Amino acid sequence: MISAARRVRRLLPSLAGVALAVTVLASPAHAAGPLVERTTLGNGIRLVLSQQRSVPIVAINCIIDGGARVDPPGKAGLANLTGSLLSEGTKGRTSEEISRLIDSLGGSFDTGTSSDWVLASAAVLSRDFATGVDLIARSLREPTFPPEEVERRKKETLGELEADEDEPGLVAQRAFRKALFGTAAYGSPVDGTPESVKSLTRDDVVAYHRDEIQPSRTICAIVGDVPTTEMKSTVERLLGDWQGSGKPLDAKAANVPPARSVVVDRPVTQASVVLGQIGVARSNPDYFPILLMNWVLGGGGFNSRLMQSIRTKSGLAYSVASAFESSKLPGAFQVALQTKVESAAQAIEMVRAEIKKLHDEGATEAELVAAKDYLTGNFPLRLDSTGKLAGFLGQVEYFGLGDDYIERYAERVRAVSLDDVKRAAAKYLQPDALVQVVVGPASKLAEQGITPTPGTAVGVAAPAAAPAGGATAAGAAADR
Amino acid sequence: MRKSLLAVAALACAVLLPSSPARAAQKYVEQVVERTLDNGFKMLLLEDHKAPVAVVQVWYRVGSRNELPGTTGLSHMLEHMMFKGTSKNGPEEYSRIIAQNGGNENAFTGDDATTYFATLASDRIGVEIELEADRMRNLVLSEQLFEPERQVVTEERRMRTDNNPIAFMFESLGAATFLEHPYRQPVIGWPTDIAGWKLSDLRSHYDTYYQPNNAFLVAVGDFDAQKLGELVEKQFGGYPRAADAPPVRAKEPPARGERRVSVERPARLPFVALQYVVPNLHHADAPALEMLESVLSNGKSSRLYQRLVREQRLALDVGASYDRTAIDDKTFTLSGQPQPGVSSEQLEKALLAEIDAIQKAPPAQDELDRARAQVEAAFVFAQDSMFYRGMLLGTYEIAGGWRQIDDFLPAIAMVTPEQVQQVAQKYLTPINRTTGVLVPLPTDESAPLERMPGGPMS
Repeated sequence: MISAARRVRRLLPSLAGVALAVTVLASPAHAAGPLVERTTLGNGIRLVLSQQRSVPIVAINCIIDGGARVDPPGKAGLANLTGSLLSEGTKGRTSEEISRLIDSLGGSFDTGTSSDWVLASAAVLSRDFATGVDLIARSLREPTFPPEEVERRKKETLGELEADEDEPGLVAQRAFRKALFGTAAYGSPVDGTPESVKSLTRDDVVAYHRDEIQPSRTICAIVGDVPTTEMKSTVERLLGDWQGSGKPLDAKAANVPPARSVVVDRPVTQASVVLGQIGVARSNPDYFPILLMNWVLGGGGFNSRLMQSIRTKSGLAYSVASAFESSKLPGAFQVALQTKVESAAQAIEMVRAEIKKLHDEGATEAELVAAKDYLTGNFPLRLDSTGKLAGFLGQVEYFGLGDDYIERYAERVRAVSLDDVKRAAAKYLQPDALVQVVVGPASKLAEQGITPTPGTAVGVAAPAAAPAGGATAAGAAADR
Repeated sequence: MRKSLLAVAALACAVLLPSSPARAAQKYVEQVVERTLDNGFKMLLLEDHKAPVAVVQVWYRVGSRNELPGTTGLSHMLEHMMFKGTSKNGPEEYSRIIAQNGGNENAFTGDDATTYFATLASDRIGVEIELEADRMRNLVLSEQLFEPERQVVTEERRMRTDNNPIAFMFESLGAATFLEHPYRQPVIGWPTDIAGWKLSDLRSHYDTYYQPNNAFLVAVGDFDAQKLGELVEKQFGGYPRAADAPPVRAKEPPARGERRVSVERPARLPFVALQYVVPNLHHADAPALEMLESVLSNGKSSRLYQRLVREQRLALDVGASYDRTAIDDKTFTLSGQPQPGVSSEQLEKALLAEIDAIQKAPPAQDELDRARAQVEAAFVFAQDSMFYRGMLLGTYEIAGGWRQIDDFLPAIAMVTPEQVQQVAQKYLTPINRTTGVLVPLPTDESAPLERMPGGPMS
């Protein structure tokens, strides 16, 4: 659900246009996990630190709880605009000076926004660690929000929203989130809508920064080739005396919407389909049964039921997958696929049938074993680099998963029984209450019986969060 | 030639920036174990013990570069069929077994190569080695599995190209940039070719190119290279050496004038790209071309972003890209998407003005230093990923030899501002340029469908 940094600076593809994103969570089959130090500064900033000596680099990820989830009514995109502007000028440094500084070190420094948090991150050579922390500290504490940068970013965002309309999968995601969450948290798109973005002012940005960017909501995960004592003292020196306004977090979860169908009319040869419902919060105690259940349905790549039936056996789609989002409040559960317009109804029926079958009957013993083997065996791969470890540790802290999460992961996966999966499927899949979105030529879809639920506007899609990954241009490597 | 260049460069590094971690990094030639079996199968093994994990990649020296008009896309289709079972393992068994062992697997096809890979806990890599050896020669190709997969690839093409106006434009641009060389062909294949492939085409492609002497294995991770080499020999060593794959004989003639292609698709915004055919890494100008790319588009302080996105506010996004590691001479491309209200002509003019500027005056030394620092640091950051290190070895080996990786930083270190200016003057010329423009058609009516050159493909 990250919306920043979607647009890559280089538009052309490289050979490494890699692969099947595995989004499931996973724990080392045998490793004891990395040595991690946790500490909290006087102003409430939580630090998660791990020294890794293998490569002379360090990753610093600071996340501030809130993000687009707390955008005020009618101001969708405010957190996103504020987040992107944190690096476009700080006290004593212009945007261009910041860019020159980080580029001269060969590092990276970004600020951005997701549905749950604002992120300020840097990746630098270890020798430049203090500069990396300094860039982040200034962006959080003393951004200047120059009026011309605010206007420029607004205009760029409006242009990006326009460009996004040329990506049918993205258009489908936006319409889906709007249909699912309405005006509640996560229903407002992270980037905003053209109308809401136009209405944003510099005063709004200053207010968001004052109220929502606070030390007490901040977690910094730092991983790399720097001693943890130095990590701690540097952050203490540069962020230790930062004081926030103390405004409490505020955002409401959505009510469960009724089943409905949305059609977005587009002249394309391939329909983009999203089907789903409101899922669960990351803190849900049934997390592990849900994880395994979803792996069987559509989270297990080529081994999942959806991939087997819709791609492998029928050749109807190149990709089809299901996912429960990891989010603070209950997020989306969704199945997404693309298929030629003529087979949209058939593919949708197959998805509905698979969801219903799993809901009614649960998984098989063989499927559960396969899911457990994968998730436990795959866990070390999720922690095998500096960057991955920093991201992982930050989320463990953010979602409050516990200091022993890494050590106990495999044990928790193995503890899930067939009955647990069956209960999770019956409870968290709602085959009769699915929200369905199809992007394609409305007349051809109507011939197959795919029509919008009365009262649902056709062709209106509110922009929302972007999925990971970007467009691939011609000549690119083609993945399997 | 390479040796003397290295020596001079090493000296230059020592003087210029003795503390650069990039230049202090250990050379690949000191870390990689290379072995070639009697049947011609090569292995490149790189021990990396930072995590109990390993990546294995098998690279075949075949891609769309090796394909002929009428049957383009065969390499990519064969890549899909490689998951459909062997005489030993049934359809999709490969994916099931790798998942059972906690691994991630996939494959990708490019112009120059086809690559299969799996990342696993390091104590499981034997599983991947055995499965890769099996499918190198024992693939079962059946009509029954072929037809649904042809449909999958057709859907993949719709998703990547037909319903992606920018990608569609780049496909047409590539076909205009190259007159003869097969780099003009899309990796996924032309629509009518996809519809027309026969199983016998695949069989012949497989037998020609999937042979031990036309492939190599790259492994990076937490293993003992000596022992792993023995395992690889045991699994791959039994296959006989085959006839050499036919060489690609097509050579691109020199450009004799500016070309232009415009593509009409339903889209909200236009897009423009300027493409030039330039030499690859085997040419002495390659390091300067690499720095030209970096000066133009590496980081937010780079020229194209600062001037066209920030100052002139003409573009939503701009970039430059140099295909240095292609087997044959390929492209240097500048491209951008205009902001709403800006025409593609305006952005094209602005891109040309930037080319003109760097042809008239060399970049400032500090600008070049910044561009260089990013290229060098990227080399260090890349060490964080075993997968990427494998990609680096494989890409260079395909392009002409993995040992050239070590030449890269020393050569970059010696590039002067004047050299950057000179390669811009030499290659970014009107005569060598092909321009591609995406012309948007309305997206709110169905009529334009009939005008799609690709057409419906069911």
